[in-house]
Amino acid sequence: MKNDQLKNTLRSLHRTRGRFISILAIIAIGCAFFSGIKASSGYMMDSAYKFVSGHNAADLRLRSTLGFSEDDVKALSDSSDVSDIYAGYSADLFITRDTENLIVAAYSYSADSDINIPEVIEGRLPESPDECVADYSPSGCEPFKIGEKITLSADSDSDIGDILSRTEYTVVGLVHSPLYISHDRGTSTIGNGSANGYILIPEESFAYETYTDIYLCGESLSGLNCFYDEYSDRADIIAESLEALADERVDIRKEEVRKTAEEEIADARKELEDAEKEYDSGKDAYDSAVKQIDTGRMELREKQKELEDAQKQYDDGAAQLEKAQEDFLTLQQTCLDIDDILEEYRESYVQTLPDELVNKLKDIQSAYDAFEIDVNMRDMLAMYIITDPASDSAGKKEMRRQISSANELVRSQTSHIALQIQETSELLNETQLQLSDGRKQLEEGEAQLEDSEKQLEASKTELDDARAELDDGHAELERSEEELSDTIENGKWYVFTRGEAFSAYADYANDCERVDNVALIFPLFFILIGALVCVCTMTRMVEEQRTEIGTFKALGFERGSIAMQYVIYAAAASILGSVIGVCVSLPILPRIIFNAYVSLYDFPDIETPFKWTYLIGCLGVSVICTSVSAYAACKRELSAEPAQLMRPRPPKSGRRVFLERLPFIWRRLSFTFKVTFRNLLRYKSRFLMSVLGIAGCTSLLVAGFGLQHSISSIVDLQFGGILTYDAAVAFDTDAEIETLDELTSLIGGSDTVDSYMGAYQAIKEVSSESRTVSDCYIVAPEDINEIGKYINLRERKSGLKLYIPEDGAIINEKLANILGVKVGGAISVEDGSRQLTVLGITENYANNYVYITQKTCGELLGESASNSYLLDLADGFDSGSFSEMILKNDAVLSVTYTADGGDRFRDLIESLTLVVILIIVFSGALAFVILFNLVTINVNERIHELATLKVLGFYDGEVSSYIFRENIFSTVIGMLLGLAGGVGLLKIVIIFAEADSVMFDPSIPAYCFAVAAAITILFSALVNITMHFRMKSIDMATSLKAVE
Amino acid sequence: MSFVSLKGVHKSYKMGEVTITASDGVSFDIEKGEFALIVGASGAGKTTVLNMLGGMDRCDRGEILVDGVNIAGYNKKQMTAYRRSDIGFVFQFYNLVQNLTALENVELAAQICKNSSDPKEVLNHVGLSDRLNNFPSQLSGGEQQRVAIARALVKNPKLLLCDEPTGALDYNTGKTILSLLHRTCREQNMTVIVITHNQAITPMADRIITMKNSKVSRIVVNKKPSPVESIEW
Repeated sequence: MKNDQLKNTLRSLHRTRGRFISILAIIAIGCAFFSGIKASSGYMMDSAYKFVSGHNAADLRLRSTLGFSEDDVKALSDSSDVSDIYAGYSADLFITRDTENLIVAAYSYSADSDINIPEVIEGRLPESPDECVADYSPSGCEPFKIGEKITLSADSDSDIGDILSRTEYTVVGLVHSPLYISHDRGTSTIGNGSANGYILIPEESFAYETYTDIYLCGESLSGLNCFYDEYSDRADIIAESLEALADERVDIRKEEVRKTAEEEIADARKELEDAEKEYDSGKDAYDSAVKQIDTGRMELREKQKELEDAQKQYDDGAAQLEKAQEDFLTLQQTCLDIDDILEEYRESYVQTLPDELVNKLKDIQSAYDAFEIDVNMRDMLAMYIITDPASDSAGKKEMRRQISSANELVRSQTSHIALQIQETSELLNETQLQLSDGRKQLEEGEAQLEDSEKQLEASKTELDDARAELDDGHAELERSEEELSDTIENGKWYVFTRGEAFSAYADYANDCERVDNVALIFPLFFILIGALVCVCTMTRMVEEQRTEIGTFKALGFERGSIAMQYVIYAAAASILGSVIGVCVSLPILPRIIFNAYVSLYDFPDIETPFKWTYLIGCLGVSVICTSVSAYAACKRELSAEPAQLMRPRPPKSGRRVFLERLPFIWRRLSFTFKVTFRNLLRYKSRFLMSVLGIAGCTSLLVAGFGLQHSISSIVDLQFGGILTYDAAVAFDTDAEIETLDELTSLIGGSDTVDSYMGAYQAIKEVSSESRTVSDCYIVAPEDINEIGKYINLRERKSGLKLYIPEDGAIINEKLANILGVKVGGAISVEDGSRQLTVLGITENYANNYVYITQKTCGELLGESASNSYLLDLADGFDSGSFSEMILKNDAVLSVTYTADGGDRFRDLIESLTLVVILIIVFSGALAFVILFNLVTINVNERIHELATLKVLGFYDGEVSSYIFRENIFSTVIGMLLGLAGGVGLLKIVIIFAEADSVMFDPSIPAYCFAVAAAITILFSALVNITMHFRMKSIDMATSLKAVE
Repeated sequence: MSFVSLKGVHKSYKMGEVTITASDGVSFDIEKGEFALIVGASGAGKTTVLNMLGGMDRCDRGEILVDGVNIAGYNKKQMTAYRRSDIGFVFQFYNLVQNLTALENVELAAQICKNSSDPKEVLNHVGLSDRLNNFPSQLSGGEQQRVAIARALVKNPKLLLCDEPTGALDYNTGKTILSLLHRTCREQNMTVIVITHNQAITPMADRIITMKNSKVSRIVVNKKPSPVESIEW
């Protein structure tokens, strides 16, 4: 190629700069989009890897049902391909705060370990056993603060003392662990199943006897990016070799565990036996005590009887004494009376003993009986009474004397009697005292007896308890023996690669791949259109320069060197275009896409070092594309004779179009429309290209807007239309019955709660024959008729309400798609021993759900009791105070609000909008460039015709509309095709872009079509307006020149 | 007053830094119904005159009177209207719209003009009544030029301007075309102005304006024009 030729090329390049720039622009846009998106996944993986490797995240995690011994650790570290090892502990624990309960994964931290180095965001690492560091960004709860004191507690199934040697820690730092690269904090084995965050506790604060976790770094994995296939392949190999080692170690470990456990069991048995013995002796003691009490009671009863007898005697004595006293008084009185009578009698000298005296004497006589007074006296008195004394006065006198002396005698006797009475009375008093003493003693005896009975009762309960305990002990012993054999039988090591252990790693790799897939669909489309435009443009250019080619040929230049002019022209455009495109795009586009994902993942920042491979690749492809098309375009001209080339090329002949064969239509068309149709069909290839280009642009726009709608509408649909409950309260089913009842009344009695329902909820693995989905929500409501108040189960297309069937399940649409099951298909939950028939597919956009009845749930999982309440809260409720109120109940594990979920999801999804905007902007730019290019070519090619029209007296508007009509027509056709194509494109994009846990709304609302159409029309109009001015400036004199 | 009258028309173009004077005080008159020839060598300024007369270009100075109206003062729109209704233009390379049939090409002009003739009749006049539905590519050069003439005539213009109408045609065809133009001039009392560098055909014209160096060098009025058929060149 000669110098002058090059000069000519450069000049023509300058002359036709519009054309040059349009090729350049198309190449630049195509390359920018392709390299930007294609590089994104690489940059994303590299930047993530930089973070991961900088913190030396473990490649493999081992867990064992038997724990790991020091020997295990040693065996592992000795095995080949292990460069680094850390054996530590982990546990899922609760943290109780005033307003919320957290579930955290607690990991052991050792300053000596080089694996999983946490990045300190704030504060410092723990230095003493009572310090810990916490997750800098926990999910779904208040963040941790430095200086915060946390108290850890375990699930009710296990004892915190077995896990940790201390439960209170002070947070001294906030860290970012490389084990967590997404904002999702994973699942937990306790509580409601999802963890809020993680904490790192000094190794020495754990109380486990064996290690629970082992982290490994593979020798052959160092330096490999963990998001590439090569890494996962090699990691799988290491995992396999470790599994082989695991089998060996597990056997050894099983033996160890068996030995220690058997010893323990033997100890336990011995203890139990001792306890049994103790119990027996206790029992004997009790029995004898019972006997003693019985005898004591009998004795007491006898004594009581004695006392009663004594009392009776005393009572009799007392009565006698009283009578005696009374009699005595009477006697005394009688004696006095007798004296009085005798006195009277002496003076009156009555013949007979007065009756009065006789009566008195009779009284005295009866007193004798009472007091056993001298018998003689009685007899004498009797004699007096019987014999009639009134015979004479001497007799009288004698009798009177005798009576008086008898009376005297009686009187003397009475003092004796009085004494006797006195004595008796004293005796009685004494007896009285003795009696009350006896009664007191009896009472005391009674009380003592009662006490000992009570004691006996207590020891009885104690004994019974001891019995029950002993029985329990036996049962436990049996159970632990069984368990031991189970544990040993099922003893297993689990070897997880990083992606398996921490699903975010696998998800991130998937997301990168998804971006990569998008890079395939969209930019390929761009490049295709770009190449088409390039071919078209170059062909036109060669046609225009036909005469020049002829001249060069005639001057004797070789074909190759002439062709080189055009190849250079095209190559220059593509080189510049790809360099600009790649250089501009590489630092910007990946960053935008990464930012879209940043909200999902947790990486510091993306790094975009320039990648020559992309530039070289883009350069290669675009230069080859354009050069080949340039060469192809001028090849035909080059083979023609110079003379032929010098003559103007016969214009493309007019032709009748098919429409003319339909006279009923053709005749109705106005003249200008006829011309338009003829022109459109005259340049078929260009018409096709315009239509394709515009169709492509419109379909990209439809897909872009459709995607945005699909993404943005699901938040409202999911958290407003489908999950209609306001909050869910998860509780510990193992809590005290009273606490659970309290919770029910707390919720039922709250003014904030409009209605509530219990439900069983858990995250389980669900699988079909073809696939497995690891985290599906199993929901079993208490009342399947009421579930509609809390969760809308309905078919998406028909809107038909669904009911949870008795003998099957309802699953969500996305899950059905992933698992590849239809209504009537079978799925299994967890181990898959029992199949469930899918009887309904419900509309759902976030996460995956399986709805079953509690009965089915019980059969399936062995658990059917509700572990949560779904709440419908009053409008305008205050979540803070409600949480505080509910969390006061000890059984409550967590309170989650549907609205919070919606907000989180919204944040997550809004980032994707950026990608969509990117697509829209690029499609718009593409459409503009293509349209502009096509119209330019169209005008250039027909400039002669247009100039002629001008000379013929067509106004500017008429001349423009002559071309515009064609543009409008191809725009409309392209647009209609694009609107239809967009629907299909969106479907493909959704397939590539959707994550497993999300379903985009596949419907495209009318506004998407309208906006896409409007933008296309706008671009078309813009191009037409630009063209109008261009055509206005066409020089009419051109018409006088020969056709080039 | 003459039907067409140019008075001291000046026109110069700026090509970069060079100013080229294309018309340097051109003045001539042409009467109605005349068959006028403007002859001169390449670069003599013929085309510039034609352009200005045809309303395709404007003069810098001077007057261009057509049917008593000074078109030199027309604005762009008026110029277009002038071209539309008053001027018929015949190009060297026919400039037919390739995508339209002979009839449609004529209709294209007819549809924008108010008092147009019937396109079929005009095509009949130029002798193409049996080629109405042929596309330009199916017609010979002479036939294409006839279509072009028909397209110019259908508008019933005041002035028929022809730029080297035989330039791309062979001798005999050229003759028939000239004859057609001549006939039209005579039959329809049409003022026809033909630009040519072919001095040989001057005898057929009523008026011959010779140009040289952007100036009119000579104006000859031919009282007795000879028929085309008798001219040889």
